[in-house]
Amino acid sequence: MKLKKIFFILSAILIVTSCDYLEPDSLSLKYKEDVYQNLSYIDQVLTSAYSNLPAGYNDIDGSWIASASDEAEEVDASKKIHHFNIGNWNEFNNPDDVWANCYKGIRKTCDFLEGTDTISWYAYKGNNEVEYTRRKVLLKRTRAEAKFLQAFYYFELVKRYGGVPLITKKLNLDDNGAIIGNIARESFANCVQHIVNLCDSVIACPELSVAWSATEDGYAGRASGGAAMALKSRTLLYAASDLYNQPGLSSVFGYTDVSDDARKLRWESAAKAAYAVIATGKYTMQPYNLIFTLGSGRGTEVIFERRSGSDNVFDKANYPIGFEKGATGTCPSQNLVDAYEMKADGSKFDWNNPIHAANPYAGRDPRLLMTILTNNELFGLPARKVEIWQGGLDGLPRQKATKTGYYLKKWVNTALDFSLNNTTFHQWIYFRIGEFHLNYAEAMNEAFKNPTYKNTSIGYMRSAIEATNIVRSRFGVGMPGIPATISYEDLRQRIRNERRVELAFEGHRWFDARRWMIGSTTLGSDLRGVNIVKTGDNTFLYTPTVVEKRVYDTKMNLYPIPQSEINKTGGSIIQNPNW
Amino acid sequence: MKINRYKSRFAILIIQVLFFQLSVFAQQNVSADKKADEKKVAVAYGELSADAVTSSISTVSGDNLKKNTNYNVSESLFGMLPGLFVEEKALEPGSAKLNMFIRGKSTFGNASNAPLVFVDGFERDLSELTMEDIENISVLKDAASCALYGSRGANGVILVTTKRGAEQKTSYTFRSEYGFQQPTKLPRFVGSKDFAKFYNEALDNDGLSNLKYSDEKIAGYDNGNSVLNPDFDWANEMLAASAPISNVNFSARGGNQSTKFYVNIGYLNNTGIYKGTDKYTDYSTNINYDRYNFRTNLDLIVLKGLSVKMDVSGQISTKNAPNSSTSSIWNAMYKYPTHLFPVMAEPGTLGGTPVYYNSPMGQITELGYDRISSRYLQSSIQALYEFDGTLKGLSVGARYAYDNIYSITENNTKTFGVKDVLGKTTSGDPILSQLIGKNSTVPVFSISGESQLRRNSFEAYSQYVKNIGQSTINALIMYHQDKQYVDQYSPYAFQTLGGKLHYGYKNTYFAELSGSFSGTEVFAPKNRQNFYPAASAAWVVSNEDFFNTTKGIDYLKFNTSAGFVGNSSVGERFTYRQLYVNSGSIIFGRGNTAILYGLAEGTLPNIDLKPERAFKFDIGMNMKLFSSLTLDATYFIEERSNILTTSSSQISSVLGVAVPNINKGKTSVSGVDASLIYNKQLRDVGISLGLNLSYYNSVIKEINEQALPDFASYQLQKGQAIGSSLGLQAIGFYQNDAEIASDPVKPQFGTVKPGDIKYKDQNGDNKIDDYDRVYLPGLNMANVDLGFQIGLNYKGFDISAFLNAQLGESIYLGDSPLLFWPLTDESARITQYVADRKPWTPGNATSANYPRLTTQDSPNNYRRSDFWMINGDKLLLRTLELGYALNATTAKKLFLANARVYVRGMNLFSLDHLKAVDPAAMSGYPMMKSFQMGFNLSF
Repeated sequence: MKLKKIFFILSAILIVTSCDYLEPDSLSLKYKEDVYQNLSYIDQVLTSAYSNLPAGYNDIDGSWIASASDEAEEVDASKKIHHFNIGNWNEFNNPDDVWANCYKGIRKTCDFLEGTDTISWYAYKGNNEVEYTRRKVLLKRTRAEAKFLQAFYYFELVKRYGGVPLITKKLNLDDNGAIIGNIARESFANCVQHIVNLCDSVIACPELSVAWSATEDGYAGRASGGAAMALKSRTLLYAASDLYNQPGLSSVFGYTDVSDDARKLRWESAAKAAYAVIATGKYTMQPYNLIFTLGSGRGTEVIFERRSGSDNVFDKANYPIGFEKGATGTCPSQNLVDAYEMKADGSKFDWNNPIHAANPYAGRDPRLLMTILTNNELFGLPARKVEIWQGGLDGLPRQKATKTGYYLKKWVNTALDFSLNNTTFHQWIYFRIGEFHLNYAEAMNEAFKNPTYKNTSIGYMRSAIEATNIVRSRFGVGMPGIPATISYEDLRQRIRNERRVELAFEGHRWFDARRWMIGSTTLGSDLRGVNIVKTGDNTFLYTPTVVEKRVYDTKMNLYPIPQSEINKTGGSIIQNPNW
Repeated sequence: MKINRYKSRFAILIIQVLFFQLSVFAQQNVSADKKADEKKVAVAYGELSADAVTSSISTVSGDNLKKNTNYNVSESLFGMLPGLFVEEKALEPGSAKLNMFIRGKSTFGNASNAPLVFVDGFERDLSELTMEDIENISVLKDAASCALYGSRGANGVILVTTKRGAEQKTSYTFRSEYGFQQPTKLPRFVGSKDFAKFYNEALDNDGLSNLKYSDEKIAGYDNGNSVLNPDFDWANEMLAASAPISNVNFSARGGNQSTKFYVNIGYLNNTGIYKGTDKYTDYSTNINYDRYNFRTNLDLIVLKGLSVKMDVSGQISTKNAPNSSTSSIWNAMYKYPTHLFPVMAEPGTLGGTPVYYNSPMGQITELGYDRISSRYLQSSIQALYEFDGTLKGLSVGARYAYDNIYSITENNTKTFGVKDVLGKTTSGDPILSQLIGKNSTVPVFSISGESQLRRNSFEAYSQYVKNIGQSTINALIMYHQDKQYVDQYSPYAFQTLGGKLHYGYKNTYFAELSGSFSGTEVFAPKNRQNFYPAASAAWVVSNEDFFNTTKGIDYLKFNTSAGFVGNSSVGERFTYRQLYVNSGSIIFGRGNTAILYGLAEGTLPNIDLKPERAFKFDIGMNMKLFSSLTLDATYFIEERSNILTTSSSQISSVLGVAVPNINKGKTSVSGVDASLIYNKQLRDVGISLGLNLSYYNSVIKEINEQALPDFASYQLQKGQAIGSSLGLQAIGFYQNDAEIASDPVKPQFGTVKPGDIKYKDQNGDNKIDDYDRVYLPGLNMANVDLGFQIGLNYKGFDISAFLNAQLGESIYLGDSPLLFWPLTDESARITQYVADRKPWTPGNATSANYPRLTTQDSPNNYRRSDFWMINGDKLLLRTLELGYALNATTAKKLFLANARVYVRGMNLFSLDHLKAVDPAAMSGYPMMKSFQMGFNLSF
């Protein structure tokens, strides 16, 4: 009996002392209930939604999309970007698989919009009117930013995959752990419309500035009304392009009504959207070479950018091999170099012209030397001439010397000493005004098939030629204007070339070639470089060579949907054609 | 600092001499006799006589283990305990420990397979222990033996008991060992000339013949190593012939009726294998591990019936190391060219290029040094009151422990520059480049890592032991709680209330019921506490009246057990609630300095998060034959469920947020552990032989994997063993372009060329892609472990050897691309292994055993296939020891109780299929063999 008692008492003591011993210490944990009560947490949720924006620099396994296009070749054979070049990419393996990342961004915007939907800050009303008003304005502004981000992420998806599942609310799981709701692919038209609708609602938000003024420097890098206009313009330009307007396409991959009239309307709305950006009057073109080394400053040309801290990762990765810790990285292609016209008359560069061939970088469109580092040019800190010739400090057969005979200059800070670990600020520009003149020119030319057409009474304030020439004549470039006598077909080629040159290494070419459906002859053509032999002091022999046979198939105009996504949805997500 | 090291070595020498003198002149009488007490087995919360044990437990004594290691306890356990698998891996001096598994792996994903380790009743890590202090180590394997550990018992439990005092005249033991270590097998590389030839071969294969090394350049390598034509081996330049290791321990043990004690103090030093690291006078950059350890275990009788144990122990260690990670140093040794630039471009300046600017020699000599200081402190107090009179047999006890682990890493960082050899002047002198990088002289001090763990454990228990007629009853009720505070994280907490009832009849029939309510902080409140019951029984046949021992069977016993245990180390915590977590950052505003950090929904919750649950069933037997042979064998089955599996395999990423892991996984494991021991004394010759066997086989029953198309259903993990892997099946090399063109089967991993690996099209779709991967034979760890111990003694001499075989593992050469995938990842060396296999060229197309060399990416060849899998079966001579002990009379004349000198070799010999390099060190610090000599004096 006594024994039993002792056991009982002992057990009772133990159980009493054990209360709550296993409760976690929740000081460091944030629960959902707390987040939308707290202004700084709310702001952080939006910050997180921004953080899924593409980095631009080095954003594909330390390389970038330019090195998959006919703009360049990546020197490092182990980088994943080469999978594109050798055609080793598919529904299982895609170096530029943004699918999951974009949907993460989209969910964050949904979370923000749903979480802030019911916030009234009513407690401040009457109590502290100033704070009440501030919070109301802030709420509206940030909600508009979230909508912009959602549109941005959808455009990133649509331009790669065509129509995608349109998720506009936070999805939930049912008790069996399955997603509640239909996640089939939406039609291309509806996806575009969703992006445009979001942009329109952002543009219409009075609390959000059209462009962040000088007194709003602290907001630089945030979305603005102008950014929404720019996104709308680019979206409509893509939507009007050949790729999404092929006869007989399923509605998921493009428009089903591709009659001339329907297409004309699409080009017209693309032209209007492009002009809207220009018409804000908030953005002006700067000297070309300054735009890409703005560092932490602000450019008048920049509409929307991603800012980053001070580092030298990108610069180191792209400095010529002969400079300390330079790793070459991007090797611009001869294909791109050849696209720069002659400065004197706007004619094409021609290797068969002995004067051109003897001195291939002289007398060219000034943007060439602002974009690409060529042989025997002064570069770096301490500055020296770049020796790309065979046997030179920066040339073959040195391991990891450029494969093409060129190094990258655009975006690179050319005055860094890595032995001192010099760093620099960067910003990656998503939208700048130069593009929108070209968007306008392209849309006008395609809509009216008339290079000189304009009609100021219905808002077409400039002709396609005029718009193109605005870019060509920018300060410090001063390329001769395109003559008014040009045919619309020829102008199309000139606009395409202008776009290639003006927007080189800004992430456009890879997608432009797709929407124009010229991938096989551009992205799939031989990637060329130049062999340089030193023949005397400052004299060289330049011979173009083939660096790589590129693989391109028309099915690649749209990315394949990741096979895992198809498997997981039991086939409700259908694959793109021929993948 | 270096001076300090010498100081401490000098101090040891003095101590050694002193104690030797002491031992010679000490006036002590020693009773060498030991009480031949009945063998007891440590079980959860107490011990039982061997007969009465109903569950599966294996034990090994500390003395037996000491031979197997330099100092690392986990290293001593290879093959020593049936059912215990130790994963072999090379450790650098001061490295923590090896992975261990009891009865193999039963779970997968992020969950831990690691057993629970209890030292003297408290959860502690094996690395906190010193070999000298270990009395014995037991592994508890089945549900019955682990039931009281409840939610932590499923992976088995390792119980360590440390030495304690005894009622005897104080005895002192002094042990000193000194030895040196050498790498077992370093990879060999071809010389510069052969490298250049192979590289030219690769360029030919790539169509880059214009970049080839000229014949003149290749011929230059014939003239031996020079600045212009380097030809050397990093290992020769950087590694010393051997690295010293020394170990000293002094312990005392004794006591009387009321006070007993065991104290030990020890010192260990182990130096790294690098050389040239003493260049700077005020510091060394070599690895140097210094460890001091101490222990005091006191047993006090405070009052009649009330006994108290007070234990304090600890380790204080300092590790000096190059200020560069071991993997970075060794990767550079295997990767950096030895034909382009010399080790030293000029006196005082290392060689290098803009690509190869981080010379491995520079990494160990010129980057400064790190110093990692750590301490383990353990203290505990236990009180036990044993009732007398009518309550005789009842006892109550409580114990409390407070442990502290702290470590801090100090970096002393320096930089160095290198110079490239650009060419030669007309007079033949080398032209060197500008300095690439910067030289700095004084190391800059910083602190990079600081971490602290505190652990509070409390336990109370009451036991009742009573003999009633022919029955014996042993009842226990216990309560345990502990909390571990690691840095800033929410503490890890455990709580268990358990009990057991052991019943024996006629010392022949035994049965036990045990169970616990056990919980941790990890899970949803409703799932935190769980009940884990177990039952077991034993029948000692040889104690039956009818049993006749004359037939040679001296002892025979059967036992069986069944029950449930849990595993709460599931790899995540608190995921039953939706949390918001830090997520991403962005910079806004001119100036780019205002970094904003984001907050976003964390993983969606698994509101049902719960621990893994294992059902275990064991049946075993134990027999002794001819008074010399002991056989122990157990067959076991384990069914593990509630294993966390990802649900992302089923949920589209359009959801946009990480999906929870859910408790859906199931595995089934079965196997055998057995041991056979033979002991015989033939006049002067004593023989002891021991064989341990551990074997397991696992099957994944459910893993919640993604649905696969019908044509690839062979890729389902369900039904496979844990640790099996998918890969392509190689069927030779493409021999020529015509073959590639005409082959209907098209590889999808980039363009293939003659000399590339050809794969089998498993599903007949004429494409080689990831769907053609099938399960390859072999696992990622051994599933058969054999230990074979031989001991012989003759008069004062003894010799012992321990052989260990590990079978069933497959080695994937792709884990070590620098050695086996030539020229990948900027690698500029080629191993002899590759050269011996004759890489494919058009000239040797039919006899080649290796794919063509290439300077480019080779996604077709360099991917997981059976071409790169090697049978990992291996046999090692882990220990060979030869000793001589003075006989008792001679010892007595020298006033000693015991004196023994010995020499020992470890890892002296091994057999494996890889041969080119030790499979346990395919990258990083090498596996070491060691030679040691030592002596052991008791007085």
